[in-house]
Amino acid sequence: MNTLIRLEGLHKGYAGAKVLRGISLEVAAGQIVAIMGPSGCGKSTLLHILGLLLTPDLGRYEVLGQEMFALNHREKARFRRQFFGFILQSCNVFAHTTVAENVEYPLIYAGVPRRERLRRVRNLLAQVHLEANENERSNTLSGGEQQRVAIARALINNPRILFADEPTGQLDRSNTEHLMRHFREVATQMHLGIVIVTHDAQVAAHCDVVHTLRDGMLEARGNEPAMGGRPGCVGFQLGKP
Amino acid sequence: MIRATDLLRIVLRQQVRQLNYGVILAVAFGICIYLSMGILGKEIETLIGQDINFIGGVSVIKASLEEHYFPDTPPQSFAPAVLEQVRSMPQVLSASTSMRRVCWVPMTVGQRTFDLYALGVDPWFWTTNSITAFQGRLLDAADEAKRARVCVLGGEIAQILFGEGPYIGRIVGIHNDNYEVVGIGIGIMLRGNWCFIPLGTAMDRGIHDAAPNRMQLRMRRLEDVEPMARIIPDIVSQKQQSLHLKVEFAGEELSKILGIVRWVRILLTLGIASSLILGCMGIWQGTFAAVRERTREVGLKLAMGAERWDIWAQFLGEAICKSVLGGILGIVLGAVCIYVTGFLLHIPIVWTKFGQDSLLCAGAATLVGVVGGMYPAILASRMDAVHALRYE
Repeated sequence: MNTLIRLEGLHKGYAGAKVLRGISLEVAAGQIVAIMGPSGCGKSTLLHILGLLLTPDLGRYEVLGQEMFALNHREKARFRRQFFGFILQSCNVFAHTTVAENVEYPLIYAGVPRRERLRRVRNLLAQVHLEANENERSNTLSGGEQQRVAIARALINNPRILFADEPTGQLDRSNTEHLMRHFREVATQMHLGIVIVTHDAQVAAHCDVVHTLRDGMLEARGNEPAMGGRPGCVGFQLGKP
Repeated sequence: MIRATDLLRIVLRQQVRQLNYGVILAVAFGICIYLSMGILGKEIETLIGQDINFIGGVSVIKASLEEHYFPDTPPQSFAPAVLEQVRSMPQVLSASTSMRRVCWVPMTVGQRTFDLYALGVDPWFWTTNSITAFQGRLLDAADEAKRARVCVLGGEIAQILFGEGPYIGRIVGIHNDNYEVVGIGIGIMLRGNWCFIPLGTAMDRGIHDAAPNRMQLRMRRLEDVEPMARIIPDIVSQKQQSLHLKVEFAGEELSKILGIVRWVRILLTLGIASSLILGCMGIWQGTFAAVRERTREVGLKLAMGAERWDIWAQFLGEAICKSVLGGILGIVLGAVCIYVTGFLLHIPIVWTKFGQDSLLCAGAATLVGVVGGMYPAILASRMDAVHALRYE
């Protein structure tokens, strides 16, 4: 299996309190990994460290075989542009911008020419069934549609790893189901590693591996595919009920 | 790093969708006043100088050769070279000569005889003394060249002589000669029974007994009156022998009016400065508010790979965009104000100077944006990504 992320012996503390204590984790291409745990246990901290937004106190972190903690600020930003995608729980879209403009942003920062950007944005919006909303203001869309915009934006730069922090927090069961199917499909098609921080058992049921963070340490368990969702088992249309 | 063209597109898009009219108008107001003052200020001061003559002709300097007080001194007049030199000076609006003294002459209209002041004047006399034609025309260079027997009457005497009119084309007898009335002059400085005839005609017809020995200078700006009055003796002495030159101007009235003008100028300058400072503070506060409102957006952008420079450039760009939009609006408003004022007051507009001043204003507007937006933009760019993402 092609390992995308390898994390070993990660420690992180705030104001003397240890939040993460010797975390080790591996994520492979095409794999969806869930991190669960009670509120305040450090799930989001772990996700931010994995996403190179936060620096740990101790540990070793490799992405695509490259040591991450040795990178400086600009190199980390470049790495995020090239290989990472982020989806958050809420306020995921930029106000005063259209759907297409929202999705376009990562490509702007990557320096992709405008014509190429528009082509890629249109293709991706068609995949998430938002092509008709291309010129609509993002904040006029429903919660589910906004989340699809966020997914399109996270995928526009063809990342290798997708980080999602409570991505279904504001979605109902039906939309959660669609979102997770969507994640499964892109993980399979793009050989993408997906790390999801969640409280939701419904989300966890769609993941290949579920880690529970307790007392600063991870407990891992495998997950039976709830919908035949192993890599390669996709047979539905994106974003469609 | 974000490209300049993309940055410009994003910044303009943001401004169009989130127009901050207050800030834009504040900057526009300051720029508009500055441009109007810069282009029209001197001309308007000139007009004010002409219009406030009721206080005593404060922008007029009177110079005269007073040899008649000395019986043994021959009559003197100003040399043409003196007049040429003062007329060529940029601060002099017009310079006029007139006869050595005003004559009290009999005038005959039909069977009636009146006494009035007759004065031989040159074609510059009207501008110098703010006299305009109420009817007909004023005496010009052609009348002077032809030694024409024509005259311009003051409004008061015209009414006494001819009632309600008509005035133009009427014949009056002055000093045994008939003169045709070609115009009726009016002006704040024109009081009493006056009749003006061409200077050359007056000399030929013996209305006056000597060449002109009075010179009146109207200055463009009030500030130029006193310095000019000081150098007139030097100018005259360089060109001719002048034993008894007398120079007069309304010093006390002038200093009072200059004080008023100075205060008006200070108030206008304060108006410009305060509107630009207001714009600057508006941009400062607006950018701070934008940074606060879009904190999560900053976090998201940092997460998706934006560099700190990108965040800084976007917020600073938005601030500059606001002030530059205000600057452009101010330049457009300024152009309209200048055009309309110039048209109404018949002031010639120097558009090349307007272009130069507009460039200066665009620079000032950009500076306002930079000053107002720099610190909030730096704060935004230094924001911690995790803190920003967790911001509620």
